[in-house]
Amino acid sequence: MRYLLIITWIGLLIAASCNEKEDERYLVVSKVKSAAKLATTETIIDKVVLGTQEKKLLGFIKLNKAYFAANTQATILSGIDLNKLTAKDIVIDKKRIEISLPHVEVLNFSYPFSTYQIDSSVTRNAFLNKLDVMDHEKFYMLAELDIRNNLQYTGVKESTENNTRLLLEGILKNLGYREIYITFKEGELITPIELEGTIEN
Amino acid sequence: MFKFWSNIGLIFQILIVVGAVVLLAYFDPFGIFGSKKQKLENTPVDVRSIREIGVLISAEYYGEVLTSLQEALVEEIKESAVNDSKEFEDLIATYQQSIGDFYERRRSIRLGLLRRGDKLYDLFYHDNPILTEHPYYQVFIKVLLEQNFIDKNSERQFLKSLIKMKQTKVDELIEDIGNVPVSDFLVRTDEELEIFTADKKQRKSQIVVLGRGSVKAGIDFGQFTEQNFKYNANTKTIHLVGIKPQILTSDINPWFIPEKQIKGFEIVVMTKKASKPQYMLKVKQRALKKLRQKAIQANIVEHAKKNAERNLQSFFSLLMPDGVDEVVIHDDFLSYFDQSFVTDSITVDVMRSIDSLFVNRYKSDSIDVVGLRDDLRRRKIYLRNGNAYPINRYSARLAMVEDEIISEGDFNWLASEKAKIDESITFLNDSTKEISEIRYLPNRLDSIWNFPDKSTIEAYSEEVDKLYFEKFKWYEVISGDEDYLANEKKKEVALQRMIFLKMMTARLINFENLSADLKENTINVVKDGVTYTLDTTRSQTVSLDEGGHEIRYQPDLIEELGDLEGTIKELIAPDSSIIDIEKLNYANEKIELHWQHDRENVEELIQKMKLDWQLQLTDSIVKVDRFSSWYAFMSGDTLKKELLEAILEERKAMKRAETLLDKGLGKLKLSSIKAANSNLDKAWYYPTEEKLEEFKKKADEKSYGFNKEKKKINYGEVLIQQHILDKKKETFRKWIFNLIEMDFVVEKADGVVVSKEEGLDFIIVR
Repeated sequence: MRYLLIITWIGLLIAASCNEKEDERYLVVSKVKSAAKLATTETIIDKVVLGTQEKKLLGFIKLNKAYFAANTQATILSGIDLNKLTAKDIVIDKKRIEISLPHVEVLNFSYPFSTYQIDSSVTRNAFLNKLDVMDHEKFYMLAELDIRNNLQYTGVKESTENNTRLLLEGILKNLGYREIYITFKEGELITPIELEGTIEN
Repeated sequence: MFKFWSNIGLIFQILIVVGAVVLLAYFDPFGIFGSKKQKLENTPVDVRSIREIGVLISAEYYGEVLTSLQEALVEEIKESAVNDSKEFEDLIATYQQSIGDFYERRRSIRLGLLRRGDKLYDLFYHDNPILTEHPYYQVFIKVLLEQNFIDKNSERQFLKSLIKMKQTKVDELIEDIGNVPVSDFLVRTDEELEIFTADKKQRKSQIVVLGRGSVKAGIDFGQFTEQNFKYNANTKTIHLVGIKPQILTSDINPWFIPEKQIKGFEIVVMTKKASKPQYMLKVKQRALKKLRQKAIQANIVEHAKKNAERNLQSFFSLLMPDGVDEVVIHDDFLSYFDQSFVTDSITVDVMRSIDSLFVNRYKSDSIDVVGLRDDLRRRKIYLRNGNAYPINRYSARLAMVEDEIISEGDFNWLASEKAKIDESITFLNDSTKEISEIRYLPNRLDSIWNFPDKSTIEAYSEEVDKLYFEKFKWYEVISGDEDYLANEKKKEVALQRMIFLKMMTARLINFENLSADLKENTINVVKDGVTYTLDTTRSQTVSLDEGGHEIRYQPDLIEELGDLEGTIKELIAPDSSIIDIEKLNYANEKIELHWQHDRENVEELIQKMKLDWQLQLTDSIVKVDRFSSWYAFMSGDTLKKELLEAILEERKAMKRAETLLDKGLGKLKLSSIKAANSNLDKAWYYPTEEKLEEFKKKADEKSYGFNKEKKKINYGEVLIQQHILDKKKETFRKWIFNLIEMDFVVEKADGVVVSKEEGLDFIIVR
């Protein structure tokens, strides 16, 4: 029996040491960068974060589920990057101007923690399956990805094109142009993200 | 049974193993027993709102900060200390004022009260509700008493002794209170910090987080209007006025770079006790604040301004065929005007913008407005004639001087303005007239330019107090007795009347100055549809009638323009096609004088001169041109010194006109462009109808953007004046060539006659 105990502890230690992942660190260079992004549209998005956390004993014995719910809000600024506009994109003939603008894109994605409101009537822990702050963070991460990936279906692109067109037309009329033609190049509003594997702590 | 007891050890060991497994599963320090798996349910992404904005992001800061719960909590306490400091600073100032006022009131307090501290205490609290109801007031008084800044055991006793003090002692006391360090009142905060840092439990609750995020800065064009955009075509500079580059967003999202799975918040340490959402929120808030501070330290706003100027310059250069050399962002109109003051004198146009800015911004930014006003008062407006005018409430009206014309509209405005001021002053002086009955009271511009200063208002206030002095009993004051309130109202109205009167009187002085400036500078007066030209005697011909309310003209002093038509007709008479120098000079003089007001007849005369007139010289007859009057300075083959002077004078005039017209659009006023050539030149070389049509088209094509109509007129005038100048130059050159061809001698200034060579040198080089 003494052997059984020893084997159990050794097994545990090996499993624990195998579980320890290489600590990944990223270098973030703090620097002010120049930009020329003309944001013409602000979109506010509500997202209910509703999630479950399943816990399995030794990876296969299903224990139970904990529930998490929070009301959150994201603010997206979209418009065009003026640095992508070149002389080739503009044709001027007296009072006629044709512009092929860069594609509209998300210029700032803000998912501020100050908007997160945990719904305590839904959120609940389960036996041996307690939701801690790190688990909350993972739900917010998943929610952010969900918002990003669904943005293209919200009509933000069309609204941004309209607003950008209106703004540019106003400027060009004031500069004396009478015939104004504005088109947009093709491009992604935001890059869709496929999450590979699980989110590590 | 025996077996059970013999295996009890084994059972016990099994139970220990199971227990250990359960415990490990619960705490799961290695994460092996219970693999947690989060799953997000499908919930919709609801678009709450989509709104149109106009924001230019011109600088982005990406950074990383390390922060902890301990740091966040300490910072929170310190921040509350900073807020408390401000509160106590305000309290000290208010308390000094209240004590001073209370002491001043002692004469109106009944003698009996002076012996009763409790009543004085009630009266003090009644008089100063904002002070005494302040949440920190009791702490404030407690500290003052404890530290013997006020030398009594209680506030009641202190107030009782205060009333009996001498003025000098009260002044000293007030000064002493002002010198109490604010830190003396912040005992609570220091204590809190000490307790917090010594708390071991608190030290065990720890969260350490690496926050990665972005701060973006740029320009918000939300409130941007045409007024904020100024384009100087002359220097090809765009001025964006009244917009401040600012931090637009600062974010630490759950993901920093989702594509690379780099998190926004990387939790480095989190103890079990600290694993609470509210603690995490504090750490996140602190991290975001630190990130923002780091961006500010990295001068993100300054970078945003420079980048925006550069990027917008490139952007507008692409959109405008003539290109844009520079885009300048001015935080405020003040900075734009400051630059205008340096590069140019303040123009009347700028003054108009300033007035409109004042009226719009006075309510929200009165301090800035008053600052700009004081700055302006030190400056002057310089008009074309070189005269300087100090800036005041009516400076924008100097446009009348600049135009040199008082139109009928101007007449009407002057008359009604004077009438308003007179009526207002008369009624404000009449105490039987209620203020509400007075039609014309000071407006916002008066408040901005002529509001009396603090000392004047204090003096008025004292005067009113003396005028309406009445003694009231303390309970009448506290209970708001009708007579007491009526007396207070009377004082208030009287003070208001005095302030209004002061402002209207100052306005009258400004108006009189404007009238004087008009008298000095106006050349043309339009009355009943007739334009009168005022010449050398103009300062006497336009005057403000002291008794009346309008600018009057005095026809008897105006140059005899009534006979204008006759004079010209006489010159055009058919029997005068061969003329002498005298008649030519007379005609030129009349052309110069009448061109502006009788162009039709002058044009007829010029046509006749060009086609029919011939000038009789000693031995020949020549055709007349613009410079034929120079024949008067030629005697045989001798050129008189006056001719050389006249040539040089013309050359200078042409050079001057050339420089002026080269300045082009934007920089010049229409009147300046029109003045490029003399009336005689204009009469001789004014473009034909076809030419004018051509210029009109060119001006139309050239003008766009803001103030298009004004630009069109200015540009058209530049073309006209340039045409006149070119034609004049052509004739001038012919004259010079003819002179060079001649075999002449030159009579110089000292009467010495020199050879042709030296004369040529004189003509060509000088």
